[in-house]
Amino acid sequence: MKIKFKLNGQAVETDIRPDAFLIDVLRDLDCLGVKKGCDTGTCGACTIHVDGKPALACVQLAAKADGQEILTIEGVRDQAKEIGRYLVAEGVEQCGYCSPGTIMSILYLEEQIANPSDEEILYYLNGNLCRCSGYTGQLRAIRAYMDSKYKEVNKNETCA
Amino acid sequence: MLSFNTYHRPQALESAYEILNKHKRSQVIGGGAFLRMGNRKLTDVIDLSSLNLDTVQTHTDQIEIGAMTTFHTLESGAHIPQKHRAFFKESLGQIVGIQLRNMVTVGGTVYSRYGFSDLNTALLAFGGAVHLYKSGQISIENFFEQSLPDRDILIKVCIPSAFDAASFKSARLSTADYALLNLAVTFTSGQYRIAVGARPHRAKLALETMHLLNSKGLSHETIDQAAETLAMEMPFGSNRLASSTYRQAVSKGLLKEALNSILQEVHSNEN
Repeated sequence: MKIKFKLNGQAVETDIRPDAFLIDVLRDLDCLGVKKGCDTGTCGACTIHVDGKPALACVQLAAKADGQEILTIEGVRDQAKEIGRYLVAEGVEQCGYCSPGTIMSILYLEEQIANPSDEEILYYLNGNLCRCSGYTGQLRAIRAYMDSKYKEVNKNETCA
Repeated sequence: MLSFNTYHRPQALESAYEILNKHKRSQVIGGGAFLRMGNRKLTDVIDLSSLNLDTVQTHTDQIEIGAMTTFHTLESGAHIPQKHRAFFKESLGQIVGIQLRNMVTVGGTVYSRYGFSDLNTALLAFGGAVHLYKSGQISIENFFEQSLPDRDILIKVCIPSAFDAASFKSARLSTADYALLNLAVTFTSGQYRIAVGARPHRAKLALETMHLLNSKGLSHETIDQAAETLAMEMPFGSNRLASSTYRQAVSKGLLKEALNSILQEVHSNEN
């Protein structure tokens, strides 16, 4: 069957098997940053944004994507690089497999809450597992990234 | 692995119902998260995404939750009353992550009457009704106890729009894992409702414990009595997460925690 959707801002039309899952279709479309981890909807490595909300590409049927807007890590390269620098600075970019999904969750958190508490960070990141167990370092990195963004926005507002 | 030949996204409920009943190995899909983990071969899958069933409407006496409403909408939707939202956040916030809760639907979970579900326990504690396309309205407790209406479609779940206090507690082996036992208590106009789920069987009301609290009231003494009554009246089973004996012991602690939260909430409401 044919489906049409927006992928990272570009219109896409592709042929899929009716029972294909979105993760396989996206990876076939060269979005290799969408990682296949548990493949059971548990680990968050395949986190993408569907119509602006985080979702799991390994759980979503590709057929359901017809008419939807899909955003993967490939569509947010600059932001991903910036967040990546904070993860590296805290030494938590170890195997790196969970990073794309984690970054997609961080970006959603950033959209929702300008200055999140540690509790809110943990609530938004609860669905992203890290096999290297870098949670404490990740929290420090996200805290530092969010603080810098918050200061940046407030500085701009003050200057304006 | 889930496999099927045809994906349908009907534009009308009647079409969905016709497809469901025309093909023996067809199934309505909600978020699809649990189906994904099973090993099922179907001919047809029916997606209700185009039927405007993802809305939540608040009325004076009840809140209507459309079948395709996601868990995350319940815990975060601006149109959900704040008090309900907080209770749903307490009840659903430990289920994997926001990504999954953005996909898992109320209808898929309630219709399937999953025993492990946190939502089903929370909804049963509220009371209310499920609405099925052909079978009509059924109280939520009857829906969980009766045999399932044959090949029908759940349209919405209605819960009361007012309650005085509520608490949800669960025990898990690790964060974001399935609950090995969950428990929800609501307090509305002097009446307590207590639901226990993940026993590991589907959620069930603790009628004797409710009667005890509704007749004697809530105090530090009756909390202890209620915990003992609950442990005796509720049938518990064993699975890979816990034994029936363990669940029975844990149930006392969960109920005490929940009732203490209710006591605090009632006192703070009074002040």
